[in-house]
Amino acid sequence: MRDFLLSLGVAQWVLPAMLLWPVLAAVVVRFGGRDISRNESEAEAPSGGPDARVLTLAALFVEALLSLALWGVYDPAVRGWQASVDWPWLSDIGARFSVGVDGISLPMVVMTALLMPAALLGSWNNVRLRTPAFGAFVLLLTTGLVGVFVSLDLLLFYLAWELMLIPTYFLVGVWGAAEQSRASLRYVLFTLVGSLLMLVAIAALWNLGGGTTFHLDDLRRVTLTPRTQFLMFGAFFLAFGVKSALVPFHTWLPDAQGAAPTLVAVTLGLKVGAYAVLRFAIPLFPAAAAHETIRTVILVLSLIAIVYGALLALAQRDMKRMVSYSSISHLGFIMLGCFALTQQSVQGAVISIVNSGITTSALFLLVGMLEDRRGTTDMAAFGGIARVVPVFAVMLTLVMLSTIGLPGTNGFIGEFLVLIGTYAERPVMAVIATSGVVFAAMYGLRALQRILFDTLDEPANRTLTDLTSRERLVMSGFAVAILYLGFAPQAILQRAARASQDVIEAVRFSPNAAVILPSVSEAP
Amino acid sequence: MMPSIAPSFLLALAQSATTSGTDRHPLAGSIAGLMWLLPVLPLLGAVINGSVAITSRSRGLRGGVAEPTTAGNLLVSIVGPGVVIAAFALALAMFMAMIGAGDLPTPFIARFASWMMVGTLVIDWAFQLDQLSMLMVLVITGVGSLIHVFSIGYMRADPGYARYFAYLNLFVAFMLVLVLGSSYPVLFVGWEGVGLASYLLIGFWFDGKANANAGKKAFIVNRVGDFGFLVAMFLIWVTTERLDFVGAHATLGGMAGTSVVLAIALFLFVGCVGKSAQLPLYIWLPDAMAGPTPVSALIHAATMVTAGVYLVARAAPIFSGAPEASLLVTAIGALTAIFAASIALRQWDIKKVLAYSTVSQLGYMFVAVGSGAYAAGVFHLVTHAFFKALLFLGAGSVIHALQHAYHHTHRDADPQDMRNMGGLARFMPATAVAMTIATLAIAGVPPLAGFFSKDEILAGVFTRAQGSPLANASLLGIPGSTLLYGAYGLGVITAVLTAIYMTRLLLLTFFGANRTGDTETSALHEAPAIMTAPVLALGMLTLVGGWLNLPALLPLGPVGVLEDWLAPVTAPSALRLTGTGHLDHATELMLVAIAVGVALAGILFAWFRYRAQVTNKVDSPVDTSVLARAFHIDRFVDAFVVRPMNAFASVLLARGVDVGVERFFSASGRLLSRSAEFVGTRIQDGDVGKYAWLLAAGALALLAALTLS
Repeated sequence: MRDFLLSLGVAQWVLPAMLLWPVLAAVVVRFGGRDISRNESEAEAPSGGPDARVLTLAALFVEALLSLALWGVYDPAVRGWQASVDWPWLSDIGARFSVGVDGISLPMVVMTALLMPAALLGSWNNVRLRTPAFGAFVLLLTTGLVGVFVSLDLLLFYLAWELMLIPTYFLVGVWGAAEQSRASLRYVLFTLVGSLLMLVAIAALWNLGGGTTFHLDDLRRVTLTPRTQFLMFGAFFLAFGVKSALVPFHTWLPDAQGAAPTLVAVTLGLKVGAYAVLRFAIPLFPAAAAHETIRTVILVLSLIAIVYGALLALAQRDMKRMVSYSSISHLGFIMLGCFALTQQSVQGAVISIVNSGITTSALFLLVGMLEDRRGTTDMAAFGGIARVVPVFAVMLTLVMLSTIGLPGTNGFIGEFLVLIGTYAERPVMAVIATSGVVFAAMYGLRALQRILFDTLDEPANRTLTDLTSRERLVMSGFAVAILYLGFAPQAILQRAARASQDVIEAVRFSPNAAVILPSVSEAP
Repeated sequence: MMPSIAPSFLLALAQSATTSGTDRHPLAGSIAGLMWLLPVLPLLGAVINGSVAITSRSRGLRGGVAEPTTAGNLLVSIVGPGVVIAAFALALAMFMAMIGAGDLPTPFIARFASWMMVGTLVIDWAFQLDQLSMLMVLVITGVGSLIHVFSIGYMRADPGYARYFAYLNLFVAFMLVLVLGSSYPVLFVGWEGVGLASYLLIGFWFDGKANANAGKKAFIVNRVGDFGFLVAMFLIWVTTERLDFVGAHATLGGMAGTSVVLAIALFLFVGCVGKSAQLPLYIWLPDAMAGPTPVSALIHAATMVTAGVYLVARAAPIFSGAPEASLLVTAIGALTAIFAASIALRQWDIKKVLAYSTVSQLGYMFVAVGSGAYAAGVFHLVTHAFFKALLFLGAGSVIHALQHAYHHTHRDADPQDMRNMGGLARFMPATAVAMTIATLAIAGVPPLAGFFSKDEILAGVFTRAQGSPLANASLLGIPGSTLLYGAYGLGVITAVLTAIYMTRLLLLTFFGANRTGDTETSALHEAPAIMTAPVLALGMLTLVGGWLNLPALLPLGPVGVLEDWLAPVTAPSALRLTGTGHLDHATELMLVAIAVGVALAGILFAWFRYRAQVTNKVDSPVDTSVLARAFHIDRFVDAFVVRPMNAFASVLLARGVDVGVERFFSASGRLLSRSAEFVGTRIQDGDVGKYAWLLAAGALALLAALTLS
C-alpha cells in the first residue's frame, strides 16, 4: 500500500492538498451550496444547487481520505519530518510555506481529519440556518486546525492559529444558542490576547535569529539567554494555555462550548494548545520548560485542573458544561504528561490528546443528539431514558467509561501512561493526580444516572426516538475507535515514540537546554 | 498426556500462542494455549445477548403498546448459560492437561499480543496458567454455570432477561481476565471490568433511584480502592521496570523487608479493601444487594469480592516480603470479620444478613492470607463460594416464592424481610434442606466444608502466633504474636456470632409459624426444578468440599490436597512468613474442640433465643437498634464525606471560585479597556497617521524588550 501511495507521489503533495482543498471547497460551498432553510420557508426565494451540508460533508470526506493517505505514506521507522514540503512564501522576511509531520502531529492530523466529517454527520440537523456559510466556515476551520498541526514555519503556524480562531468566532457568534455574543466575544478576547503575545515573541525570535527564517528547526538553534527564554516561553505558554483552557484560564470554555453548535463545541474541545506546547514551547525554550520553578508551577496547575475540573463537572446541571469541565480535567492529565517529561508521560500525553479528540467529541455529539430531540441539555429534563433509547444508552455508557478511564478503553491508556511516567519523575504529584480517577467516576456515573437511569418521569421522554441509522453509523465509528485504541494503542504509540523522545531530548541536549540553568532532576 | 477432546483446529490455535522463556513449558502446545478462549466465550455470549436485548426492545417500542420484553427468550436461555458451561468444560480439559503434565513449578504463560510498549515499559496481552489461576477458573466457571442455570428460572419473567444475561456473561468474561492475567495491568483490566459488570447489575432495575444509587456507590467506593492499586503498579514498575508477575516478583522477592516492598503491599491492599469490602470500604456491599439475587450469589459472594483475597495470594512474594503489611491484612480482616458479624445479628432483610455475613467471611480469608496461610485462605474462598452461593440462591428461591405469593394477592409487602417469612420448610422442603446444610457449614459444624476451611484458618493463625517470623515482626509497635493471638480470639468470637446469626436466619425463614399472610400462604410453593437443581448441586459441594484439603489430624481421605496443589505458587512465600512452626497434637485437638464447641454453642443459643414468635413486618415496630442500623456508618459517611464534598463542589467551587476567576478576568479586561479609553481620549483625534505610529512604536518597544533582555 505504502509503495503504491509513494508511486503516486503522495508524500510530495498530500499536506499542501490538505491545507488548500478545504479553502477551495469553502468557496464552492458558500456560493454553490443550497440553503435548506430558505427552501423550507416559503417567504424567501429558494437557492439552487446541491444541499450545502452534503457538499461540506463530501469535502470533509475527501480531506479524511487525504489524511489516510498521509497515514499510509508515513514510515514509523524514520525519524524527523515526513511528507514535508518547503516552498518559498514571503521571501523578504524568510517565511516559507514549510509543512511536515512527525509521530506526534501525524495522529492529530488524522484524528482531526476523520473527526470533522463524523462530527458533521453526527450533528446533521443541529444547524439548519445559512448552511452554505456555516459549511464554508467549518471548512476554513478545518484548514486552520490541520495547519496548526503541520506547520513548521512559525509565521505559517501563527496564520493557521488565527485561521482556527476567526471562523470559530463567527460559528459561535452566528450559529450559537443562548448568550452567544458574550460567549464568542469572551472566547476571542481570551485567545486573542494570548496569541498576540505569541506573535510578538515569534517576531522577537525571528529578529534574534538574524531575521532570515521562521523555520522551527532553525529557530531552535538560535542561542537565547535564560531571561529571553523565560519571557518567550511565558508568551507561548500563555497563548497555548488559554487556548487549551488550562485552569485558571478555563472559564471561557464552558461558556463557549455551552453556546456553540455541536460541531463547533467539538472543535473547541480539541487540545491544539497542548499539541503546540509539545511542538513549540518545549523544544524552542527547553531550559525554561525544564526550569524547576516554572515546571513545578505548571505541574501544580495541571493537578489543580485535574481535581478542580472533575469537581466542577460534578456540580453541573447542564450536560454540555459537564462535558466541558471533564475535558478541562483531562487537559490537566495531558499537561502533567507534557511537563513530567518522561518517555511514558509524553507519549501518554500524545495519545491523550487523540483520546480527548475522540471521547469528548463523542460526548458532545451524544449530548447534541439529545438537544436536537428535546431542545434542552439540562440533566434534570432527563432520567430513565435507557429503556426508551437503548442504543443511545449503550453508546453514552461506553463513551462515559472511556471518559473515566476504564481499562479496555482508550481513556485508560492515556491516563495510565501519563501517571506511570509522572510517577517516575514526581511520585507525590502522580499520586495526587491518580486520585482524579475517583472524581472522574463520580461525575461520570452521576451523569449516567441522571440521564439514563432513575425514574422515567418526564412525559416528553417517553416518545424519544432512538439513534437514527445515520447517528448509529457515526457513533459506531467512535465506539470502534474507543475500543481499538483501548486494546491496541500501539498503532499510535509506536509512531509517536521517536518524536516524543525528541521532545525529552530537546530538554537535555539542545543548544538552549539547561546547561546554564539549574539542571533538570533527571539529568545524570 | 494431552486429552484428545479438543478438535484439531483448536489445538492448532493453541499451538500458535507463543510461550515465554527459552525452555519449553510442559503445557506448551497443549490445550492450555486456548486460555484466551475462556474469557472470549462469555464475551461472545454478552455480545449475542446484548444484541437480542437492544433489537427486540426497539421492535417492541415501535408497536408502541406494552413494555417491550425479552422475558424467557429461548436464544438467550441457551446462549447465556451455554457459554459459561462451555468455558467450564474447557477449564476442566485444561485441568486434566495440568494433572497429566505432572510437576509444574513455573506458570505457563501465553502471550497473545503487545498492549503497550513505551520506552522501557512493556505490557503484553498475556495470560498465565498456574495452580492458583486454574483453581479460580474452575470455581468461577463451575459455580458460575450453576448460577446461570438458576437465573433462567429466577429471571424468566423479567422484561430485561436478555440484558441480564448479557451483563452476567460480561462479568464472567472480566472475572476470567482477572484471574488469568499474567501481569498487574491485565489483572487490572479484569479488576475494573468486574466492577463495571457489578455496577450494571446492581443497578439492573434502575427505575428505582435507590438501585441506581447503590450501583454508583459500589463503583465509586471500588474506585477508591483502584486508586491504591494504580499507585502500587506505578511503584512496582518504577522499582523493577517490570509489571508481569514473574518478572516483578523475581526482583521484589529479593528486596524483602525494604520500605518499597512495604509501600507496594500497602497500596495493593488498599485495592483489596475496596474490592473485597473490608473495613472501612465495605459500605458498598450491603447496598449492592439491590441487584437481582443470583447476581449477589455470583458477584457479591462467590467470585468478585474474593478478588482481593486472590490478589494477596497472587502477590504473596510481595506481601511475604513485608511482614508489617501482612499483619495489617490480618488485623483488618479480623476486625472486619467481627464487625460485620455483629451487624448481621440484627438485620431483618434476608439478603442483608447474607451480605454482612459475606463481609465477615471475607475477613476470615484476609486473616488467613495475611498470616501467610495462603492455601487456607484460598481453601476458605472455595468452600465459601459453595455455601454462600447456595445461601444466596436459596434466599433467592424464598424471595421468588414470596414475590409470587404477594403478586398473586396484589399485596404490597416486603418479600425480603424475614419477619414476613417463617415456616417455609413446609412449602419449600428442598430449599430448606439445602439451606440448612449451608448454615451448618458456615457455622463450622463438621464434617461440612466450612468447618475444615475455618478450622484451618484459626489453627493457622494460632500456629503462627506461637512462633514465626511474622510473630516476631510488629505493626505500629504492637508485637506480631499479640496481633495474631488477637486475630485468633476475634476469629473464635466471630465463629460464635456466625453460628448465632445464621441459625437465626434459618429459624426465622423456615421454622415456626408462617407470617407471610393468611391468603398468601396458599400461594407459597417450592421453586421450579431449574432453580432447585443448582441449589442442591451446591449443597453436594458443601457436603464434600472439605475433602479438598483435609487436615492431617482427621485423615478421612488424602490429606492437604489443595495445599499441595497450590504449593508451587504460594509455598515459598508462606514459608518466609510462617517458618516451620507446627502445632503439637494436643493443641491441635484443643483448637478443633474449641471451634466445634463455639459453633454448637452459638447454634444452641440462637435456638433458644430466636424460637420466640415474632410478628410480621407491618405489625412490628421499626427496629432502631444500633446493630439494625449498622452502627449508623452510612449516615456518618453521608454527613461527613458525601454531602460536604458535593457542597464543596457545587457551592464553593462552582458558585464561588469559578465565578470569582471569571470575574477577575472580566474585571481586568474592563480595567484595560477603561485605561485605554482614558489614554485614548487624549490621543484619539482622528489622525490615522498618529495611530499607525503609536502601533508601530508599541510593537517596537515590545520587540526591543524581548530582544535585549
